[in-house]
Amino acid sequence: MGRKPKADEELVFNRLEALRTKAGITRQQLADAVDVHYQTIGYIERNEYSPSLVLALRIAKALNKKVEQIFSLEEN
Amino acid sequence: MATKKILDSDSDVKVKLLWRDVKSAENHRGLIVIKDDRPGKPIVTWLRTSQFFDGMVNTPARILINVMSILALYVWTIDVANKEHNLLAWVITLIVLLFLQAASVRFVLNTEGIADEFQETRRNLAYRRAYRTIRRIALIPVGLFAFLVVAGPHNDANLLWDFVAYRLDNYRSLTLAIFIFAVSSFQKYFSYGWIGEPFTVREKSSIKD
Repeated sequence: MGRKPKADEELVFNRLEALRTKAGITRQQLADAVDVHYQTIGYIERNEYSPSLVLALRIAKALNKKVEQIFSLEEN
Repeated sequence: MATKKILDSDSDVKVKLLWRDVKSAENHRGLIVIKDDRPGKPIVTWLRTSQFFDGMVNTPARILINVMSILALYVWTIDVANKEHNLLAWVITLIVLLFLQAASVRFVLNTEGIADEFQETRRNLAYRRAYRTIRRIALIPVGLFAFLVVAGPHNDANLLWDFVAYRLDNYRSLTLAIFIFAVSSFQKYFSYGWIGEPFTVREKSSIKD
């Protein structure tokens, strides 16, 4: 639920939910690791919000993945 | 219902802990609900902490506040201007609604309340939409004037001024001035939308997803 903050812009797709679940961590734990609110992780997972480059890099680091393994311009 | 009363000797404030709330707190997130006996306090406490209003930041509260704001701003104004009455009540209502709107999105529009980049983005988008709307509203009278002067049936701006002079007495001028101020003040809150703010100052969620 929630308005898409960047409705006018192209969205970035991601595999965040699958990778997070595979890593066995909750949204809250990931949010704590990258210093955002847990609901922001939810918005990103539902493709309702495209994170900044800094946040994308932080998420990739927290999940021990490369950014391109998580985020992409095409829907997988 | 079993109740337990505690008398605070320092502040001399009676605090009543409802047993139901204590049991509820044990079952839900460890939240302890304290009922205060001071006049008006239970209502304020309820508004701030109820699951429904969630401190006036969630969607039901925003819908309620937005509907009231739209009615006061775009419907009641016509009545106030036409019948030339209830100006004070209308102004007070607008001020109260403005405060409610501000409280409703306080975590977004106040810089100190920004939690992360998502909120910042949402706030900036609301401001951009508000400025765009105000710009469009401001263009309406300019466009109307231009139409009457350039392409109107008589190409005569005096028609507009005659109409304005006929309709606008002191009372209506004041109403119009307040309306313009209110419209511009409310825009950033309208632009924020009907969806409630998911971020609150409460403790982190206990959601295990």
